[in-house]
Amino acid sequence: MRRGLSPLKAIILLLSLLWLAAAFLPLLWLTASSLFGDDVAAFLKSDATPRTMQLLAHSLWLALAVTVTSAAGGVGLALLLQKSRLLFRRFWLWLFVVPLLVPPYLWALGWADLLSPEGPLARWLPSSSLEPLRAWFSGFGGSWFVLSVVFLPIPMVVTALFLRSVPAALEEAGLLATGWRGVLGGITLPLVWPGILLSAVVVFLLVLGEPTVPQFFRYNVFITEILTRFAAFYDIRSATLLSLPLVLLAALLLFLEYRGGRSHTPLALTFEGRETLPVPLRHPLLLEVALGGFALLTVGLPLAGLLAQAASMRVGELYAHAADALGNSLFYAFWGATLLTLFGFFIGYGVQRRLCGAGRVTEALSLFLFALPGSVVAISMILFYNRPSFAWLYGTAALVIVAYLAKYLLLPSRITALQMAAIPPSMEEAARLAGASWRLRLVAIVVPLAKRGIAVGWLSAFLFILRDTDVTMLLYPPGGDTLSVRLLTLMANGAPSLIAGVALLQIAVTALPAAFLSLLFRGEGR
Amino acid sequence: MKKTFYAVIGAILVIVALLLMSRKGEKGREEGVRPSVTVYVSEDRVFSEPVLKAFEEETGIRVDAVYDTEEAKSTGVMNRLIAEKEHPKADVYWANEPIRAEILKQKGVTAPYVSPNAKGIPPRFRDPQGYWTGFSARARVLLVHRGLAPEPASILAYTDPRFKGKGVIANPLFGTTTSHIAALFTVWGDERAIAFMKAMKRNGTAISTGNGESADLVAMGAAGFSLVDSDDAVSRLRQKKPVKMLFPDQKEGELGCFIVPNTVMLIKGAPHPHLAKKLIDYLLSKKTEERLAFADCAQIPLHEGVKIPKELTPIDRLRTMKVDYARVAKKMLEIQPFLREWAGL
Repeated sequence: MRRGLSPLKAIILLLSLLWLAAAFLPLLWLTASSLFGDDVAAFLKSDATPRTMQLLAHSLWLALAVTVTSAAGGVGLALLLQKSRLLFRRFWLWLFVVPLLVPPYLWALGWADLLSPEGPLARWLPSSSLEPLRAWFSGFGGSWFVLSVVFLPIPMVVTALFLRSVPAALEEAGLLATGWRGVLGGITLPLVWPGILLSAVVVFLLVLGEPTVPQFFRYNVFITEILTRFAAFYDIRSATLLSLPLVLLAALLLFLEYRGGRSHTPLALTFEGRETLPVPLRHPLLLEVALGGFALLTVGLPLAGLLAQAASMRVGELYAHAADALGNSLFYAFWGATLLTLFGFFIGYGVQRRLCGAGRVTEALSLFLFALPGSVVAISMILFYNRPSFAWLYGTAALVIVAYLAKYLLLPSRITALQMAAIPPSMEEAARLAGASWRLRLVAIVVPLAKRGIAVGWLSAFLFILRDTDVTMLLYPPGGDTLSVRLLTLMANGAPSLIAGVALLQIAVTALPAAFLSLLFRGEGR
Repeated sequence: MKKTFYAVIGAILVIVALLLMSRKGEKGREEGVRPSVTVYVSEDRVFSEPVLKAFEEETGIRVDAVYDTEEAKSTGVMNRLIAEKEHPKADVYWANEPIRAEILKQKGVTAPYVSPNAKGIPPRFRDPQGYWTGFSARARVLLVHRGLAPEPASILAYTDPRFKGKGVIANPLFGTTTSHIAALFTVWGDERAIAFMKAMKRNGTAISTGNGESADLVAMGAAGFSLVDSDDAVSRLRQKKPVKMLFPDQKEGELGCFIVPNTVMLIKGAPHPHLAKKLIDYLLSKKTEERLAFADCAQIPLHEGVKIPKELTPIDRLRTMKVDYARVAKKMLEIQPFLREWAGL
């Protein structure tokens, strides 16, 4: 029987080709023109030095340490907050997400301020006790601590979402044979393993691409070297070439994550938010207190610092300095996330159902772009699109959104693919045999079953766009800067109260859609 | 009922987003009616934006600005200008120092324009061919914590054993610190400058990510002194931090302080060259210099006879380093490998 191109495959193919042409081709162009220059050999000779290797080793070590800490902490917190009946568990969950919502640089500044000899902690503690802490913060320690706190919400939220999907019946059946320890280790954690693995890969790549915090704490990493090529030498080509090891690393991670995730999904997962089976706790009050202490240490102190700073700010001043940037942020994040969700849904769906080879290629390439420094992605967009034939696109908000599409497609597509793994193909197959068209199957079966995953994909894209600075900074049209970029432009000699106010606004604007989606899905599937 | 409520909220969100989008469209349509000029700016936004707003109000010409960020160390605007060289979008670049102006000149990104308002500006703060013109300068000053005794009076304090472990300096790979170090190389010669840098390191000098951080470290008392830009120093003074601002090397026969003027330049192939020249003329006017002198950045006017606040010293009363900025720019690129090694990057 000859099988033609189904409409669904055609849509996936079309979206994949569109993405490849609009988002990936500029990077290919830049990489090719960098690789096929006449002095590549000279570049390799001058840059493949022990020092470069050492920087790469520093980056890998930091990324590994942060990934392990944030994954261990995130999974532990998710278990505690999702599988218990602690009184304030929702509050703690929201509070621990806060560090992810502002640029990490600001968090590093907050900690430096707290620990400074004239900072708030110095009023309560003797200087001699703070000195070792300050020394430890300067270098690897500070980078590791701040980035772990900043990225901890990723494994925490992803694991919590997966935990909500674990059918209580399975755990109840397990409890007949063993205790909670055995159930968690033998049933629950293996089921949520793909989520943990995905979030760990995302954290690892984000740490590799994060220059500001290690730079702030003076820990030399590979990405700083790439940034130096841009900032000190204005050498776009060598910065691009130097980014290639990150691409290779991303490929390796893609392979490991794909293999690891595939081999650990023996049971179908669902994102439907049923009440999970609670783990009985011996000392809930003590745990609440411990969580409070941890929250105070990691989030509360810097957040309190921001609130204290912002207290002296006038609302009118905040409006004058940030209202337009807030509008721009919402505009980019809304449309960027919506477009990313559309592309991510079809591509993720196509990948999971093995519908179209182009979808698989697109998803694999999207990981490369996610791993690359945002400035390389943005520069490739400038070099490719800044020509008369693209005058209608270059310098507009649309190009910024195309760049987001290039950089962040991995998130919604991978989340959709994971979601689709939870929906048995037999349901669609049964509907097909009953005569349901592809459109009906999509609208009546796939989308309703996948809606929580779609929402999570949209929210993750929304969040990453809101906090993006690397891509936006190089591409925003004049007058079109976002809150994150405005925050960084104001940090150069801006009033501390205003900076704190803008940071709090950024936190609020990111938290609102998350709260809205959380309300929307609350109670469903119970 | 609940579902309807959420659907309505969702619809409102969509409408808000659509309104935001239409706002963009309005702006685009407006472009056809109101003349506009695009400027890329490396001067701190808090100081440059009021000047550009004043230009808008006085001339009716809309200014579309792209500002640099502290975090990016000017990567944003400079790399954007270089990447856009073939099809420029910017009309004017307002840099916060002259070295970038020289690099852009060498890369063929800028075009010559001699503004009539450049007349009163000393020739050493202007490109002889008119590719850039300096105005409103910062001085490289010593910011000293009030608790530090004795007080350093020279940049040589960085190598003085009395100040061992007390000094901090911004990463010399970026910003005005690079220019300052490169200027020392041009004035002292390579041998002496390298010896100075090595001695500075041996004396326990810490490296910060930027001048802002250096100033904060001194203000917090985590460091005793630092070489920073005068605007960083003045802002900490106005924040009532326990610091002092000192112009280094002011005695007879000493080096003098390094002056970093803002620079403005016309972009080659600018889409609106006529309006660009109007903006350049405005930035180079005495009025702008006076505004920047009284702003929190407290920049020193380069024209004679401009009113200044009490805390500023007129440029002609300062002992300044005599440097050729074109040579400094060239030297800056030459010494990058040494600086990278020195900074441990």
